[in-house]
Amino acid sequence: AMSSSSSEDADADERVPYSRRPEWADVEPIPQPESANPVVLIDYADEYVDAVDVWRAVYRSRERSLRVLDLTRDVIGMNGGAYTVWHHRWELVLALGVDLAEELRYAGAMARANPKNYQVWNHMRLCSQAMKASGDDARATLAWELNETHTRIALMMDAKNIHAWTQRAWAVRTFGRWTDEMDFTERMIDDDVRNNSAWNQRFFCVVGGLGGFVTSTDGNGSGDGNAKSAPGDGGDVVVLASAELAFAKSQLDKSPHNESAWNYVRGILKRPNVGWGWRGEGEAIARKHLGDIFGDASRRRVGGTSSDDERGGESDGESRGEA
Amino acid sequence: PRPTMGGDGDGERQDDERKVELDPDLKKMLEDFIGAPIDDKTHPFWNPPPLTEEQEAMFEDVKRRAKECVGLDGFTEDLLLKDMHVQYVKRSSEDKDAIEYVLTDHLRLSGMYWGLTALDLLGRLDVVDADEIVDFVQRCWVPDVGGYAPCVYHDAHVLYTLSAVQILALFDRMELIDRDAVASFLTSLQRESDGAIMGDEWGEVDTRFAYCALSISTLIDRPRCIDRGRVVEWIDKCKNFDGGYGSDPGGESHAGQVFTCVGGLALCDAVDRIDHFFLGWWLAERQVKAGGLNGRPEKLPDVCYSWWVLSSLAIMGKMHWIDHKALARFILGCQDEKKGGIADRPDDEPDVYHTFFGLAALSLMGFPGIKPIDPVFALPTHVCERIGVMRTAADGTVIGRKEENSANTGGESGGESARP
Repeated sequence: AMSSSSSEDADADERVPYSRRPEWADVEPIPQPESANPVVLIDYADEYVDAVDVWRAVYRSRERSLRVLDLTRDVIGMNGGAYTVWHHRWELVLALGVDLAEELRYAGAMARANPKNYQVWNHMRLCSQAMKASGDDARATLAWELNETHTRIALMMDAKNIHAWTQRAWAVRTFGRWTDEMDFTERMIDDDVRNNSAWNQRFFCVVGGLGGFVTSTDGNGSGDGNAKSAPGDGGDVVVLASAELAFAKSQLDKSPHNESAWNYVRGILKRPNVGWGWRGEGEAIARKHLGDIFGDASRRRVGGTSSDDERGGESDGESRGEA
Repeated sequence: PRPTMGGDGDGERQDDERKVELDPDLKKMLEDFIGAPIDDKTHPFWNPPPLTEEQEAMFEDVKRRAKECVGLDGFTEDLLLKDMHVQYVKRSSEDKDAIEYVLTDHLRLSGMYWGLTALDLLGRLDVVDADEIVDFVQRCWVPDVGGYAPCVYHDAHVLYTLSAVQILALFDRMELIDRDAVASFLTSLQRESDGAIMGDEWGEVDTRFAYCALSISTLIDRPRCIDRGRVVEWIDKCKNFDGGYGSDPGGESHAGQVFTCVGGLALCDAVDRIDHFFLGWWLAERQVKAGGLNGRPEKLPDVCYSWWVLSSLAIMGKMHWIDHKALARFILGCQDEKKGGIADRPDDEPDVYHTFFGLAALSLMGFPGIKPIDPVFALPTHVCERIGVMRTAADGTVIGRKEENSANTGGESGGESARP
């Protein structure tokens, strides 16, 4: 069982354990149950155990009050991975009518402290969805801005944090910010041409664009259906495919050994509404960087006989040049 | 199967050998490339010179080296610090008075699954008290919900429901599972709008949860509690332009998510949905010079990706697309020679998670002294045999798939064909 030693800190100004706070005297803490073969172990922390034992009690008793809200902040502050505590907090936020923008800012700050944690981002989504659902445009815009800011800050710490990118993608789709995000991916790719997440995000926006460039602020719903836009018209495709292949080409010129950029080129060319004509563009980009691996023999031009012989192609479709 | 060339249903080529009507754009592209009319079959493009002796020798050398990469011939049992790993896992499960224990109660059951499966792979499940463990697992059962929580006093979630079922499977105590209740729980997790699977009532969606639901429903023999066809359609939406899979549609391809999708599709007999050539290639590209595998382009190798990548390749029958010996050397180099256990990369702190996945990957490659593991269920093969679910060999062949697990509907009356 847990140790009941008093606080090890000699300093009188240090925090008072919940077990000694008069305002919490009415709650009987529930200790960690004995369990067989627990997981990984580090140093024992009285402060955390003290707080979470009280949390267990009030979670069970279903108390909904500001003191419990503060308690969840305390527990999360010590252990951002406690997902039940996050859920509990969301319940409290709704029940107590906490300002969602403030809660979103709080979650954003927690995201910086726990960047790889799923719950903090989920919490941000819940807050953002609720702000959008309020029907107030200003609230929705604020929600987008807070999402954009906090994910951008997280990416400044780790440009490949997949959770932050997922959150951005969700926000872009929910608030319809495809164009803004295209610009963002370009900046991130300029920062690091090998940032696979940035290339993926760009493709995500392009598909949102190729699917019918959303110019209004009406996004694709609250993100719960993950619906892509309906297929767009051919004009957009030509402009977009051309621009994107040029973009990829310029990045490859800078740095040809870049898996992400090549996957991107192939991704564009594989789109159902990108025709065979564009394959030539892709092939040209590849050929430039492969050099002339086929040698002169296969490249020699034959003097112009174009017969209408319909013997048909014997090619079975296998690429000769597959490295 | 023949590799597809960007076959997304675009530019449908007639595979008719006798006569091919070429798309005019394609024809122009080919003629530009060749530098001659496409009908001129005397052009050198269609008549490549035979390989020189030197080229033949090079080709044979490449083939030989590729063959050598497969399998772990020459690797001896003593290279694995087996006893130390057993003691490491045992120790990390015994000291309850430590913060890591306290801080990770939100994933306790998963941690137990990693440690216990590692022990079973090493043939040492005997070092733990089975009854104590099974008792704890059952205390994590949340009857109102029909699922398991990661620890007592926590909320049920599909992730920990899978871990619970897996642990009970290891100890052959599956009779303790309330299968109907679990089946109802899983049914409640399928989203109405698009067939995606949520983790719990809070609605978070991720391909990991789809895999969990598919695996649980198969293990407890209630495959139809979720609409498998709809899950397959949703997983398909998560397929990316690079052939890989993310956590949700548009999410960046990541080896862990790839495993959940490939495994999930295998559980539905729907691996035909995979872009085999490009995904296989993408997975093979995960191997870095040092021999380890990363999770996505331009990231560092990590032992856990040894499993996510290798199991996916195994299911796809492409394990030989990775250099096994180099990978095994990497994993063995991540062992902690003082404490036991395996770390994410050499000289880092070991943990139970990486210990398990390192051993699991070595198992797939046939390292001596480790029991075989099933790449779909991530459980020892003998456990899958005991339960009676389909087993997938390391070369991708499947034994014992049940038709009800298929994504095709119409399994009940047997009237509709739906034969895969």
